[in-house]
Amino acid sequence: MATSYQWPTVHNFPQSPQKGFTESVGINVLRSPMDVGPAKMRRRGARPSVLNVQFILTSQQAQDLQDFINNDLLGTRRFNFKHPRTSSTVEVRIVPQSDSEFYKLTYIAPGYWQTDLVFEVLP
Amino acid sequence: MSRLSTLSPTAIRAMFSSETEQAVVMLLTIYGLDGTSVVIRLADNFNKRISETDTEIIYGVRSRSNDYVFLPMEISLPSEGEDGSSNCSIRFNFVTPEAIQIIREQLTGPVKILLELVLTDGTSNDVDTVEATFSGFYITSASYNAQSITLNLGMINYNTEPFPAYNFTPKNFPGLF
Repeated sequence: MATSYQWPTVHNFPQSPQKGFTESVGINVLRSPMDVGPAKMRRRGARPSVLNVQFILTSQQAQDLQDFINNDLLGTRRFNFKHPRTSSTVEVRIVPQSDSEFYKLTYIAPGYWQTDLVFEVLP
Repeated sequence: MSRLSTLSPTAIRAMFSSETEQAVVMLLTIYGLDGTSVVIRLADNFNKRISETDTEIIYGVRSRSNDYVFLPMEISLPSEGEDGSSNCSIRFNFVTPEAIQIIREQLTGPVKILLELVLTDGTSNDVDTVEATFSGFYITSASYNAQSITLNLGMINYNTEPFPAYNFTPKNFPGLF
């Protein structure tokens, strides 16, 4: 059952990061270095891809984001998000940074804010 | 008898090859907590979502039509030597109030468990082939702190059992005395 929670669309909420985007992709493997020769590698399992996304939000959209995280996600739930590279819908969670900080708003101009978010794509 | 003699060729090849997509999964089955018929099935890895709701995903593996819930754990297996200890332990780095309540209220006696090793091949297929089985273990004690829960496992030690079972003592045969 896919989640019913969706990335906000109200007030022309940005659906793709306008400011910046980086993606970390990988697989969990065990890598055992040998005294001589190449290391041995064994697959462990799937690893969530990590997306660093940066949005430019209006003051209203910043409030929408806060309401979305506080009231809908309750900080922990996953939601559907359009992957910026593949344009497919993926299920992601917001990864809190240090001290349970979900995002930080940076003032860039009157009524406009920049925010950095870290998503993890659930396998 | 060495475990190698019971492993499948696929498992042996996976264990000795330099690169392999095969991942070893430990399946832990806990039988009958507190005398009930409840069976808890856990795995230390996953290859699929075995259940998902609107708010939660449960990862795990499916083996022989049973779902094993993914819960990271560290297992120290019993050694293979002749003087090998028959003790092993399992440590969960996941502590919840519910788990502590189960330990305090339902671990009132030795609880039988079963350890099994299976291989996953990187797909979400069921893992029905058991490569190794460690049976006969019981949870003999449990300890926990804020970070981890450790279950100590042991086997029945027949060396300390009385033999023959009954002695001619006043307690067992009062009519003879």
